[in-house]
Amino acid sequence: MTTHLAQAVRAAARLALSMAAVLVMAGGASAAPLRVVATLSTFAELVKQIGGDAVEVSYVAPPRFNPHFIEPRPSDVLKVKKADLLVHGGLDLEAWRGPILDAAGNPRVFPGQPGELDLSRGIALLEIPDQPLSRVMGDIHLYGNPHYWTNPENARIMAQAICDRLCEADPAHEPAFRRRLQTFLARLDRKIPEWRAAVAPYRGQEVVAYHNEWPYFAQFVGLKVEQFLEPKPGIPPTPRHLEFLEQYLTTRGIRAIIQPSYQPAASSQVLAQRTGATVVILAQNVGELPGTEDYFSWVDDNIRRLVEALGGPHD
Amino acid sequence: MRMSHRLCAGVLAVLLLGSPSAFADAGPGATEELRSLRRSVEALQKTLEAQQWLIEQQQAQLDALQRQAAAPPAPAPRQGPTPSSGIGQIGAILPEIGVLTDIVATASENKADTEGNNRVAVREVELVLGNYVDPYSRYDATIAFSDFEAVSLEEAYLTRWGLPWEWKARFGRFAPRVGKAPSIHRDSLDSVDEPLVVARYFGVEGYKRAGLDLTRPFEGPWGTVLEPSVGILEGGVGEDGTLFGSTRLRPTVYSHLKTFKELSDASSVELGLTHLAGSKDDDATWEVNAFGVDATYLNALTPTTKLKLQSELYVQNREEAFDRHPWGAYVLTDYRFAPRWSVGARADHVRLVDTITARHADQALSAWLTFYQSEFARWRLQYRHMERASEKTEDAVFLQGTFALGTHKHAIQ
Repeated sequence: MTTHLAQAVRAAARLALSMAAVLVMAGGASAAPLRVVATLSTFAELVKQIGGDAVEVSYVAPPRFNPHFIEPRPSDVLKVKKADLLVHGGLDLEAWRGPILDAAGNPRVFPGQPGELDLSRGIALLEIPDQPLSRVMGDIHLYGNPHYWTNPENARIMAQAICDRLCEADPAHEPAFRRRLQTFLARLDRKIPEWRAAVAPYRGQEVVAYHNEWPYFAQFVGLKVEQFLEPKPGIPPTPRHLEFLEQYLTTRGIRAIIQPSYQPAASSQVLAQRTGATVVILAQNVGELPGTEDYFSWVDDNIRRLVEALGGPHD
Repeated sequence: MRMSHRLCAGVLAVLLLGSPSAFADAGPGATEELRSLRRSVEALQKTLEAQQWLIEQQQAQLDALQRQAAAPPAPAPRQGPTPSSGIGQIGAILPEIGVLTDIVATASENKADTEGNNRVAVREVELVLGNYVDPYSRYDATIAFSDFEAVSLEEAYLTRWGLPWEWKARFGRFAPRVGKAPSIHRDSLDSVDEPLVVARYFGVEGYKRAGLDLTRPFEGPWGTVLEPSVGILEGGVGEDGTLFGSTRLRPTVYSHLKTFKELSDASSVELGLTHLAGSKDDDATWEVNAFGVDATYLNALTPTTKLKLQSELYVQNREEAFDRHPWGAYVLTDYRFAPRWSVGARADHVRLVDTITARHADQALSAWLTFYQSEFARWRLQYRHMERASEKTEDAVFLQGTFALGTHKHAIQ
């Protein structure tokens, strides 16, 4: 009798244990996805690539607007308030990041907290000022050029950082995050030589840009960008500067003026008409133009547009 | 391999380009053939160069990978004083400092020698300071200087996060979240002057009081964001305001509900409801009530153009001999039609508090043109036609320059 009782107790204990395990596992599986808010759509896309269904990601700056001058809205404040992780570009591009953090008042994502990820960490920055700065120089960036996400080589560093932070925040999904990172990196490894080969015939050529937001992309494709329609960062083109650029483009045989869709196109068009150059609209961020809805299609589209403007694909 | 490519191209080039006389002797067909071959060789050379560059790039990558595998970890990539490293850390400790200057030149029919009338005046120089105090709070202060008033403390308050149920509190002197125009800084207004209803009821420099308030945004139905705010403030209103009396001892309580709805990534609509209860004198508490409704529609039509439509209405309920329910409202539009230019207009109507005059209300029509010289400098030219309750009409022209130095953050409206 005692033996039967002991067996029954043990069986009940095992049953309870296994039920508890099932409940815990079910609980883990049905746990709410990690809420991630990114400042830019490109960062959000990278989070999506690594996080998959285990994250719920949104972004603040609509890609068709200039990321320098975003006016966050109450809906953005609410997103940041509820976020488990805020992924941002660091540096001083997103001047609106401070006010949105203050308005949201979410200590989880404050600077230095586990819920804050600065993607500029580990990036080899370009154009770090090596002289005293003044606003006489225009709307300058204090810490170096902040548009580093446009170089696909930097996507490796950003994706790795995102993966590491997602793993810390949600260890249950670590294997899935690592797997997705490997898939992303493998695809990137295949695509990077392909992108480089497409632009290889134009290596060393010079293009002119509206604003100084392409140095990392230019570094990747091997183009030179030394002159801008803006005489100084953030200062719109002046007639005198356009005259200078007309001479500059003509004497150097420059064939393309690059700019994102959100910068005013009128001055670029005038310059193009005067010099025979082509205005190439490149997307600064994922989703800015039709057909750039994911990371790879975004870079594909930029490369295709650039190649077309510089003389068409070489067989 | 690179050498053999170069050799082949060189030999081909010599063969094709080095004996033009032979082709020239052979007639025009041969010349055309020569040109075609030349083009082919040039194209071949370009392709070779491109391939060579690609090989060099790949070789460099391979070398780097081999070095990485063999050598100890490479030093961290070059980074400057980023906000989260090195020298940038100092900024995290020191207060953020901004200086905002508002200079206004006024020409009007009013010949009175009053503040800033018919002259150029530095209406305000704001010294803005702020930073995080600790992991739970932030402190902000605004000190105002002008060339016709004593130095005044516009704002000085602590924001405290992490309260129960995720409420956020402000404690100190601040702009309560009342409507739209009364709660924003002058530099963020769309026009040179405050709407008349704000100037007459809350004060010519807006509404700022000492007190405590609480706010918290949360998700509402149909994709809306709801943000209720409640606060208790010292009595009184701003300079020349008539909504409440001058006594600070009788407290004012206020509540506001903001309802925000995104219509698209570029357009939104916001509706607000406000209630204030305060005192007009020392005798009683909360005998004056004001109810407000505000509506704002924003549409960024293109990345460089933006349309704003805004209106506010305030109705009072007060014990007065002549008018128990004075009210005032404005309708405003501002259209940024180019990256550096915007135009706007506003219509104002405000019934004055307990004033017996023929018209009983001030009303005005204003129009302005704004030029954004850069992110930190702005010029505005405004014309205003006002019909006062006293039946006097007054035309005025304003030229305003607003300039910012240092850290200048716009709070989210």
